[in-house]
Amino acid sequence: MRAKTCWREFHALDAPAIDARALSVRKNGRIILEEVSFKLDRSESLAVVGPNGAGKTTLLSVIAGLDRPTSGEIRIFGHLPGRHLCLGYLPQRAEVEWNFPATVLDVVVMGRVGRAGLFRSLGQEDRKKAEEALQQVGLSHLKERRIRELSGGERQRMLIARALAQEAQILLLDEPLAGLDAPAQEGLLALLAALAPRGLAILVAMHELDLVSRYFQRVLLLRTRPIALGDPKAVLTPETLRVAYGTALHLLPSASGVLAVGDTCCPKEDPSLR
Amino acid sequence: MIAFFREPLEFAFFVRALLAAMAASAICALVGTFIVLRGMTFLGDALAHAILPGVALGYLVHRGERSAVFYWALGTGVITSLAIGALGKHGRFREDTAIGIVFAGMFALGIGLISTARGYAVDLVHFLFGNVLAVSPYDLWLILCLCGGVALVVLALWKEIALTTLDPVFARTLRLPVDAIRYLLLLLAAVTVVTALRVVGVALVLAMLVTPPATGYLLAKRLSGMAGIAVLSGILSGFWGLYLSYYAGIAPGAAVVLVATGLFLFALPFRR
Repeated sequence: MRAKTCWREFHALDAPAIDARALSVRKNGRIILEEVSFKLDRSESLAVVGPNGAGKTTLLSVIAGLDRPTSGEIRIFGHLPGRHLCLGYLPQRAEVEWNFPATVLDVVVMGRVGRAGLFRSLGQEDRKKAEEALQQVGLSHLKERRIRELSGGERQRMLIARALAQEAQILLLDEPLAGLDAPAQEGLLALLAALAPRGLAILVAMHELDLVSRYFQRVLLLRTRPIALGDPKAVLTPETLRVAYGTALHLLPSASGVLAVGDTCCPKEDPSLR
Repeated sequence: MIAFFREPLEFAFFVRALLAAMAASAICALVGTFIVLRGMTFLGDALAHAILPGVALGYLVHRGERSAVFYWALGTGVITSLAIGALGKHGRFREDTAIGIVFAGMFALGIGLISTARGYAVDLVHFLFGNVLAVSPYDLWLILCLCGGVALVVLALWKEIALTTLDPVFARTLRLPVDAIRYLLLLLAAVTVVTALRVVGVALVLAMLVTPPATGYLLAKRLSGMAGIAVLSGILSGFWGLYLSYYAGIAPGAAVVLVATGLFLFALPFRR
């Protein structure tokens, strides 16, 4: 069974959106990721949590086809990554040149570049797709705004809109909540939760343990190797967290049970947000 | 008033210089737009300086014949741009340190080579500060062809160059050849620098790559606007620079850069 849903590569319809099989990554002799396996279907969302240096970013870039696993393999809709345009990858915000002179709409339209092909310019159809995508993330009113004037939350939404304009069916977000205030964090997660049922497979690397159980069906707790995978309530227990975070975790007895305070200190500084 | 514009046009060498200055300034502004946005300005300057030994060799081999020197400059420019591209990726130093070493070393080699020739001081000044008034019809033709070629490539690959500048990681997920585009841009920068050498010389090429795009950046909201204003401001600098040079009797290369700088300062209060 094949369906033409993705440019250049057909999808095996019965295959999961993401199928990671015993992924391991070594760089310069150091083990970055070890034996990570999971499946993610369309309309599902998965949070990946773990301390800094746990391999979250590497995992995402392996799925996106930017890095190769040393062993194990990754399947996107039944195929190797590398030729999939249906994969929307949102790197950590610092990777984007926010001083670039462009409007929000300009950036979202760029999601169409991969489909237009070399030398062809983008047309009315592409613009329409971009406007629809902006509508979906609630940024239509800012489409003529310059990107450097956007707040952190708006920037993240714009990048999601770009992935939607790209007609991505998989969204990979690398620490999208870093540097956002609490309402913006919740707003963004609510948006993702609303997008997933429309057939998107969503994977989010994040630090905010307290938000995981409210917005995600499943969570992968990672510290180089997978510590636990499954329902957030089952996964995020004091025992597993202690294994993942070690001394960075403080357990406080409180009225409602044990309070786990993860030290998620020092997310990378984002020089564009000032 | 009309006499003001017509008087210098009586001289064929002035017309050639005017056209060469306007074309070179325009193409510098176009390529410079992406150089500025990518934070590669130091690299553009290094490129210009590193071309000098090639120019010097050509100068010695062909005994001062200028048109031949042009091809030597082009060849050195291409080799240097590829070397700089490779340098940035591997190597134990930060990219700017590595470029600094190569750039100063090559520049010294160039001066050393030229100094072996007799009466080198005059020619060295030409290489360092340009001699646009000496552009021959053949030189002009060559400059126009190169400028046209660079402009065509940039316009054809506009969205690819723009996207890899804005968000290289995203561009890689779209399977755009990000590294190839970087090399291409370095190559275009090399050709651009070589055409500009005749007009403003090694020492002032940087201004033509950076100042008009900076003016565009101040005034424009979008990339196309920035590039448009940059090119316009480049052409105006070439035009008014040459007239300024004619009437005020200052070196044409310096005059072009002064006008470009003036336009930037004029735009400063209107930034958005």
